[in-house]
Amino acid sequence: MQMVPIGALKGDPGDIARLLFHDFLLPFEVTSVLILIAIMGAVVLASRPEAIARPHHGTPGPQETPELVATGKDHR
Amino acid sequence: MIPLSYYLLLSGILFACGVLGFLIKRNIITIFMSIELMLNGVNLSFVAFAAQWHALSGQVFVFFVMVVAAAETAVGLAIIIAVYRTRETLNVDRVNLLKL
Repeated sequence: MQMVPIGALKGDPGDIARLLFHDFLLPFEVTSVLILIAIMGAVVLASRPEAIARPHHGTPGPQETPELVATGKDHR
Repeated sequence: MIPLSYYLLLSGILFACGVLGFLIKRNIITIFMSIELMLNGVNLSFVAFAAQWHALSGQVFVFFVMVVAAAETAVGLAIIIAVYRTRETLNVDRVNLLKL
């Protein structure tokens, strides 16, 4: 196999863009769906449980939403 | 001009550091950083081979790996927040039950 020295690569952004937006177009589009699902999952997982249970009551007061919701006994 | 073996050696070192941190550390966030270290070691290997063989698709693969790693990080940090809210700890030895 012909060994090419690293650094002599003609990889200008045009070639990479042609690969990314032409040859790998379908994975690129699927990636957007993946990011959308990840965003929704992160928001749902990181939101407080009361915000999911009662979404139409506005922002609840600070006495209703403690910063740490400890449910049940912890196994420490 | 740097030989390919140096890149692969550094990639292997990064991956080994990630594996060691994943196995040794008990903090969830440190384990998360170890996973990122493993992914980036593989990324370095991808780029080194792409440069060696004039195959630009390796670099595009690295883009996809980065995107998937970012999505995984977002979901993982959200899971860490949820775990800390319920358990009040980040030690994985104390998070050994799926249900409280």
